[in-house]
Amino acid sequence: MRTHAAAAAIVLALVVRVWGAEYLTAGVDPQRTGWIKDEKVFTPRNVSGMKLLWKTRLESTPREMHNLFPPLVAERVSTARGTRQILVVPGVSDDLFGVDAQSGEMFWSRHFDSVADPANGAPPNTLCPGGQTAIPVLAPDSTPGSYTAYALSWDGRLRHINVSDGTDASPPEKFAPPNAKPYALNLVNGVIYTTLAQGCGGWPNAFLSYDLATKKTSAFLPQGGGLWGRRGAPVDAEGRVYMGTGDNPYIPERKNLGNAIVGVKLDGNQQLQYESHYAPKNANWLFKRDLDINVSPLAFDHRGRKFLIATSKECRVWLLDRDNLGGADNRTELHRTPLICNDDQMLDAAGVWGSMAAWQDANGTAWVLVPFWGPVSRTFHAPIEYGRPIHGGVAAFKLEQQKGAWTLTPAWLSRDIDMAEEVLVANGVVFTYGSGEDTRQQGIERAFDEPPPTLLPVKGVTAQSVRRISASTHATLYALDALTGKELWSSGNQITSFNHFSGLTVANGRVYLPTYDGYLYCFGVETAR
Amino acid sequence: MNRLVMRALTVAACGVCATVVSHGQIGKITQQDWVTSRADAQRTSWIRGDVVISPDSMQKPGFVLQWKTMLDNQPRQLNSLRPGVVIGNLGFGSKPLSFVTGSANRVFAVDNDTGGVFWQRTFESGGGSASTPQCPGGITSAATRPTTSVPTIPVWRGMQERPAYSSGVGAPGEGVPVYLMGRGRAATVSAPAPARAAGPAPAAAPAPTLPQVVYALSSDGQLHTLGPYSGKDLARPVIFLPQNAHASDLIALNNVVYTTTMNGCGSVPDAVWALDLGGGSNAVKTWRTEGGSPAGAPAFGSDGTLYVSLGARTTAGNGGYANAIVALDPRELTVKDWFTLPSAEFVTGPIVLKTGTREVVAAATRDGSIVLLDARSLGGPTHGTALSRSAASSERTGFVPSGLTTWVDSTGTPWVAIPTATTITAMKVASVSGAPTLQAGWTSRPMRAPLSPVIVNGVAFVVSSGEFLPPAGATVSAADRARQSVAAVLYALDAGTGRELWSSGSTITSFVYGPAVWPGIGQIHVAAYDNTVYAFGFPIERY
Repeated sequence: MRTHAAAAAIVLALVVRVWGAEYLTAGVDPQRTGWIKDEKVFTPRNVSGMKLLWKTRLESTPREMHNLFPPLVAERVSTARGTRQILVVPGVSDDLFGVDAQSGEMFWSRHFDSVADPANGAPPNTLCPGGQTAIPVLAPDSTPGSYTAYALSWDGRLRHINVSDGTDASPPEKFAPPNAKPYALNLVNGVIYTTLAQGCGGWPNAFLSYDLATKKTSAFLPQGGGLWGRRGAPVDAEGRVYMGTGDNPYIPERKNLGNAIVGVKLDGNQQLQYESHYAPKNANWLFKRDLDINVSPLAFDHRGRKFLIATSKECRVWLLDRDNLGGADNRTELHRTPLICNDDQMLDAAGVWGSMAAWQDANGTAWVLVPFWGPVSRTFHAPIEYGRPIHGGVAAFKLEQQKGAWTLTPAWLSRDIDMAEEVLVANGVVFTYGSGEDTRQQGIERAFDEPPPTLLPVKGVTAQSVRRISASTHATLYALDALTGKELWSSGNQITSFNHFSGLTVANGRVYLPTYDGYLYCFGVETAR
Repeated sequence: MNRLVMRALTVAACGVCATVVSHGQIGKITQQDWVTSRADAQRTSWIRGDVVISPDSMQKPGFVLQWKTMLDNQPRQLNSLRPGVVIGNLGFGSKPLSFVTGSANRVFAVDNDTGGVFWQRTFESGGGSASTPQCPGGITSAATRPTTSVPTIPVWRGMQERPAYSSGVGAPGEGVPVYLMGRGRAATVSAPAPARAAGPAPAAAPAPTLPQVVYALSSDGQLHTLGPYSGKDLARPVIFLPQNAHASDLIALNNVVYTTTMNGCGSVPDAVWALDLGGGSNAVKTWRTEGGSPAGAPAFGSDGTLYVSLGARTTAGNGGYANAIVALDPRELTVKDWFTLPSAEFVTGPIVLKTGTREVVAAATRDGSIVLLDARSLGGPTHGTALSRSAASSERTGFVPSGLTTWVDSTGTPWVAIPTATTITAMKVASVSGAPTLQAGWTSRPMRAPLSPVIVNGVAFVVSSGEFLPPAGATVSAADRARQSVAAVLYALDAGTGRELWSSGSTITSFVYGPAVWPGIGQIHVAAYDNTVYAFGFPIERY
């Protein structure tokens, strides 16, 4: 009897496991596909019934325009109060929160004991806010129900946090330089990866790796600009790590890889080594106009091919072969889409900024989803369109072969979405949101007879941040049919603040969206689970 | 990638004043912008250095039509688009823009990289006016950006040369290797300075902070202070002139905007006008010639003195000034000095050049000769003594040169060039018995009604305008003149020899009226009568 009960428990656990989706790392998986393959609760049919399940304010202090980052989700965590689905929510001011996914109740919080002043007196600014800027990564431990959150605090130390109670699983370790701007952590085969950008803290832009076993840190400096894809660097099954570099000249003869997609890989000594790169044919145009590569590429395998899909502020998508990244000349892609947006080639308020997604439908068709800011290009058209977006939207492509060549074929174009951000796809539903952020960085001119903007009393931040915070509105979450782009649901005016350089999370019939004012929103469909 | 283009990209991408915080970490590199009509306050039409344009580079393939854009403008008489002024160094990542005024009371901001119209403004008309060739109505003056008395030539500071990509690994528990991430390493070597024509050292002081605005004068006489990014009126428009005047190209110095009015258009007297935008008074001062009509826009000496050249008398009586060059105090517009001769009917605006330490004012007269005057004492005690005067042109076509051009070559020799009906004539300024004198230099290939050259880093860009020139004394309507004109051709000549280096061939399909030619960084723009703007340059790898 006891044997039968144990077997039943195991079966039940497996069933639950099969049912449950976790969100342990930015962009769902190490490849940053944005595809929640395990999601079973959301469907295109039920998502229209989604509603606000809870919202909770976390005691997180903004720095410049940053505040909360999207939560990670560990589905079955053993806690003192039983097994819970725990959200791990990072806050920019060196905070980490453990929140009960069911109720929004805060289980625990941590404020990292960074050294006295990691910035050493240097003031923050919009691009370099200081604090914790990397989304942590979760990993299940060998003990069922036990997870560790790896987080990178402002002082550059790697934290090992028990997800069940927020305590240190082990002492922090030196990893990144202090007061840098690292992006989302990735964890593959016992190695943590991140990238640095914007030269924050005066540090060079670099790939970083940290081997949890040997505690060795490696850095690779591509001599480009910042590596600032928000989902951090994707890592493929072969251990190859990719990221686009920001603005700097592309001078291959000097091995200066500005505005390029760079691949690196650990060698036997845990040292990152150059693997490959791809520079768009107009890399130096991207540099000239500050249209640099600002989005994490995603590694996506389909029909035996190992693709890398990348984009930039220019607002086109490059389809690359990871086994031959840029061809013999490092400048040849499998396919390059036309401009989706940004006809005026603006450095701000236009282009692709939010993370993309790639997925495969039940018929085996592969899709690529691209969120964008600003007006859709006058020359971009898709077979299905829901208007011509002015403030932003999502463009969907089919990844298919045409006459033997892999291409990205426009499939649908969404409704207008104000500054469309990160895209996730779950069981036939595309989730995205308009951030409502004022994304203008330059060219703010006011006519003599225009009233001055009303500035919010935001203290201790730069003028640019004050202006943008004051002019921002509110985020709006959308659910779209992944096959057609049709709007299935939106949050309307329920969210009352914007967010900046954050993202969203989807797991188990719920969508989580943090906002600048410190709230975490949970929308979802009620389930019998 | 072509090294020249690479250098151009790095230069163009970097700004003298990083007005925005951007996502790049780069040095500040810049080059001279064409900020006002004819380049600068001395009206030299000379850009000292350019990172891609040089006599050498222009002899090689690669200088091509980059784009052409038709602007939404309607000509009035033969007037259509005025020469643009450029903002190329707003900051890294920003757009290089040309601001072009149009006869239909419009201003356009054109993206120099793409030809896209970034914004355009149409000003409300101040009321209809009869249009004649002398008084075409609409906007007649080019826009201007604020400038300085002497052009400030930004210093090439070079981009920090980066080492090759590299990696390293730290010891266990060390964290990121400090040696790899160390700051202030020695491996920084500045890029070399670009080739620059020799000559008197230009002012290399840090660029003064000037307002990031564009001034434009609408046909109702209001001065508009426009935002370069938006075209919005950043300040309340100020009444500068009576409406329907024929105003010359604007210039803004020390917070004062200047223009001249000519031909008595709109019953506005022939005069020099100054609008003081400092202190909020917006006071307008006027100096009436009471004699001849100003020929073009004023020029300024390095001490700020304003020079205006005047044509034949158009008013009754003998008062005032005609056939003269007059020096005015730039603040009060009071007469400081003058030169006049009955035979000196000036038809071009003045230019100011230096020979040694002496500042010289030059202008052309109707007979095609060029008068050189000492800026310190325009006509000597008699107000009628020139330093020298070149021979009159042998042509008898009624052609009126659009202006003079001056530059200094690599040996330090000043040059002056003048268009004739069929060529460009360039002369060296030499000292003869202590007096600057024009000596024969070169004569260009044959052209049709060429415009005054624009000099960029040793290359003379000349537009053979294709304009039909009616016989002297004949009355031909603007429509007929337009009909009988032919397509313009842009030529690049070696400014030292006049040798043809390049031509646009049949690319331009309309004629060009007026000096609607201006450079961007590594580019030359031509605005044709049919409202099409052409940009020529070395290709950039946009797609």
